[in-house]
Amino acid sequence: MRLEPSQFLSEKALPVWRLRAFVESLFVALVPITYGIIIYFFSVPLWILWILLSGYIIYVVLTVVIIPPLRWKRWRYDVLADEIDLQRGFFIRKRTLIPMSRVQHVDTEQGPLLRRYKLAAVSISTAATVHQIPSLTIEVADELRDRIAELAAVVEDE
Amino acid sequence: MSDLKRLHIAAIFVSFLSALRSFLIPFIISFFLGSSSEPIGFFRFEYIWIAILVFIFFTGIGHWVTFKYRIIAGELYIQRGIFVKKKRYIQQHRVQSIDITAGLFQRLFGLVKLKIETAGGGAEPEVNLIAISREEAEGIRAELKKRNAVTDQTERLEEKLDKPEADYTWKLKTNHLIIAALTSSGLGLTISAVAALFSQIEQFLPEMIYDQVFRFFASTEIMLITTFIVIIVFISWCISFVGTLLKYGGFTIEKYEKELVISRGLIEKRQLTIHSNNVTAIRVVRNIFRQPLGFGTVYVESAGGGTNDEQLSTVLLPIAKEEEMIAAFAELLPDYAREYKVESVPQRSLRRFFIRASIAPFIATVVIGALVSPYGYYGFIAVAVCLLFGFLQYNDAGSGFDHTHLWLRYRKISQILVISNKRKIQSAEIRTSILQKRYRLATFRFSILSSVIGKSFTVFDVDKKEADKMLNWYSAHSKTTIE
Repeated sequence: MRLEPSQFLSEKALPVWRLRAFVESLFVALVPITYGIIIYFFSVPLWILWILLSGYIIYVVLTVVIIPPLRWKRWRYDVLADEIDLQRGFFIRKRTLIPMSRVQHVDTEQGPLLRRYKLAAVSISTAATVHQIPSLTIEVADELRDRIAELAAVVEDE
Repeated sequence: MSDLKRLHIAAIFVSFLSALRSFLIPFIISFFLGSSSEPIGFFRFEYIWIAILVFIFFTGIGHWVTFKYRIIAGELYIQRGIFVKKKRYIQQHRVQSIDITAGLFQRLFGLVKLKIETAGGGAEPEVNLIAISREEAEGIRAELKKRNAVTDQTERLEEKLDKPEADYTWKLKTNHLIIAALTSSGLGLTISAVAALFSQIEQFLPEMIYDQVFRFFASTEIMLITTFIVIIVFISWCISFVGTLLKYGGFTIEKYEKELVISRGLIEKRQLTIHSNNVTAIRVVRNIFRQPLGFGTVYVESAGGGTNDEQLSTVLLPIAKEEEMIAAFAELLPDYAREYKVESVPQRSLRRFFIRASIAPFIATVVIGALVSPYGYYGFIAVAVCLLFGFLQYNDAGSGFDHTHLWLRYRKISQILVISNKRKIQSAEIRTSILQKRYRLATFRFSILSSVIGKSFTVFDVDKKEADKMLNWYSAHSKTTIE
């Protein structure tokens, strides 16, 4: 069994994830809202609306309040001299290894939400896959990007 | 710039005809739709089609007029574009694969199509010269190959290139070709296509014939349905039989140094070249008809190369027995010539395979059964079939590795054994769901480059220890400790 990677994401990731989860939950809210509109026009039982509403509230509590800290605790990474080691996922725990020699390029990305919190994501591309480390502080992200680029240039494929 | 060459003028017709072919299905569909609606609607369809045909024809002319190329000192220069001029230089060391095809339309004019794939071409990784003479194509190929060969070999090789003699030749035997055609897995697809057509043809058969034919069989309703199914399966089977014969007839692999030249096809002749260094993985696929007979199909995944109709892979051996595969690998890809011992998944994962395979049809059957009782409950037959597949999937799932290679075996419908070299694997991953964790199981997946995209291969529910071993094997930095 390998040791877990040692580095955590920025703590500011939590509010970003919560905000994002809340915005996403608004799409789920469309279900009780639509049902509410249907009630207005047709005679359908009211109790279903209460079930849908409480379902929505449970969903919000889960995705906005409970899951983000658990996910944050699980999200870890390590950038070593010869490989990148990622661990993430709450329901399904994923552990990914990317040898440094396979890295083709590395980017930092920043959407409007991340920019407000002075955060950035690092994307690592191989010939076949793209991996992302989300929500790092800008300084860490920049440093990481430069370090990976440098290491990838040094480690030549056998 | 006077030495710029155009394609053969027949390129206009070739591009017109191939565009026509790709419009054939929408055309037939619109014909069916049109014929059943008002006459005015039908005429409108016709006008639209005429406009499209004219447009295609002029595009073909435009393409021929503007497409020019030149090859000098191992560098291919191409300019094209009707409104936006595009110029492109392709240097020989960037060339991944060269594919000479003689499609049906090219053969009408005695021409070939040359497809050149380059490394990391971005949006357009390939260049097609759709109609040139065979000598010209061979010339371009020789020119683009030259320096590659010279750098690793002596001048003697150049003589060799002039009158090439393969180091090794693998030919598909006729009896194997027939077995391949009889057991083609394209059958399922053809059945659905024929069934769809059949439902349309029914309208066109004169009622007299239709009645006479079916009165003979149709003593009962069940009999009628059975007759339909038998006819559909038989026609589909004939089509896929002929299709496979045409596709893989004359299948030959020639090996020159490290290059594999694969030729195949009776009507549509294809030839493509794969450099054995570019091979990223090998897949041995045994479909449900071939597996009991001990046959399988070998595909290669390679950086560059591959065609869309094979999901970007290339067929290396259309059909072969285990021993033949090992013998052929020994010559073609010695790196992969060995037997692969598969460590099966532990027994405790059987339950998960059963559930995964049957949960969706089970729920569907219960729901539909509750709505349209009792006929809906016939769905349990499908659930039983899925359970059977679940067992087969469990039985086949497994993995293994040695110091250079990693292999996974799994089944969706056909059994697949995928083998890759550590150096070609781009990333590896273990997934553990909460339930898997309780049973000490894990899902293992690795990714490789196939043609221009990434492909991942996954095996579900292997022993967690086995998955950890594989990840450690892949790791350049094994920090093995006990948790």
